[in-house]
Amino acid sequence: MKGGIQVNSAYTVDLQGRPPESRAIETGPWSETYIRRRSMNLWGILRITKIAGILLPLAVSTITAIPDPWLIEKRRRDTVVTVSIFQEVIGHAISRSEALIIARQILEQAEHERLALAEFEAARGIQWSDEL
Amino acid sequence: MIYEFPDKSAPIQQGDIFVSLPRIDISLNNVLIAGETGERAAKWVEVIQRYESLNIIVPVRPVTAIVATQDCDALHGRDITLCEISEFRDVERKSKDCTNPRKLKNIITQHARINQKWFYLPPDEGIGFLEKMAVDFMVTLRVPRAELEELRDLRKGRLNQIADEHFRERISEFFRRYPYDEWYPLDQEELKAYKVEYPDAKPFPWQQTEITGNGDKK
Repeated sequence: MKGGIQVNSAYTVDLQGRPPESRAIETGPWSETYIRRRSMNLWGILRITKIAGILLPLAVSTITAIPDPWLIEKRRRDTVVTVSIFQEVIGHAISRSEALIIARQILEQAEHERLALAEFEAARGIQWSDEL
Repeated sequence: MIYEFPDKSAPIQQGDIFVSLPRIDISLNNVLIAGETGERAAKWVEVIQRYESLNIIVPVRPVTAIVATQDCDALHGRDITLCEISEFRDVERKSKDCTNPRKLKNIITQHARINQKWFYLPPDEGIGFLEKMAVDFMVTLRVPRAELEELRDLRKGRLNQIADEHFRERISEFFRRYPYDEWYPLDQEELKAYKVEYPDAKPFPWQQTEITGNGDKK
């Protein structure tokens, strides 16, 4: 057989020709050497103590950051009080008659401003003369 | 004139003219809060930080208006949008003191092509217009469709076919407008003449190159 078919055949043969054990060994670089760890001496103990000296304060500081339920509750109560005061002071108190007068003024101002805009628009652009 | 008078049972459609519909005006600087313990006045920016919804006092005036919502939405939508109809002399102030028919003719026909903010409605006793009127596209109001259908007695008529087609195009033109500085294509001489009338016009970068006596730019 020739061409692509031949190549495929060769590849198939190559895979099938190896025993499963040898393929498993060649899965990657694997050169473990068993070096014995040095037994711990005085220097090693001092080194560990130094690291512990750094980590312990950090750990303690983390513990103090744990949420304090009493503090949270106090803050929550403070927020509630603040919000209720906030809502009380929104705007300023007016009487019903004042509100109606202001409402009327809003309406009239809106109509006045629409008219003013129309005047502005009329002053622009083509001005038709009476002779046209 | 340009109106027709549909049967009361006819569904609401674009170009229908209603009277006495509520136009609401709101001030964002003076929101009148109706509270259980009394009224308060506040600015809108203060209100939105503290309330999800609230009851306010708003001024309202009954006005004449024309349906702007297109027919399909006017049949099925929850709300219907209308534009206020006012006297023509208030909407187009060029006509306020004009009695000359030739000038009025120019404003109504020629100016209508230029100014897309209004739609002219001629007087007609049948529909209740004793003066020249105009749709002011700048002023809209919104009402619930189902409730407006119950108030079809307030519908005085609608635009006829020609006027309705024109109205449909004009309202779409109004909402598809975009802002631009009209002096942008003028050359320096034209811009100079333009600034005599509109001194606030600021030249664009391509209008700032001067042309010297021998025709070179500098």
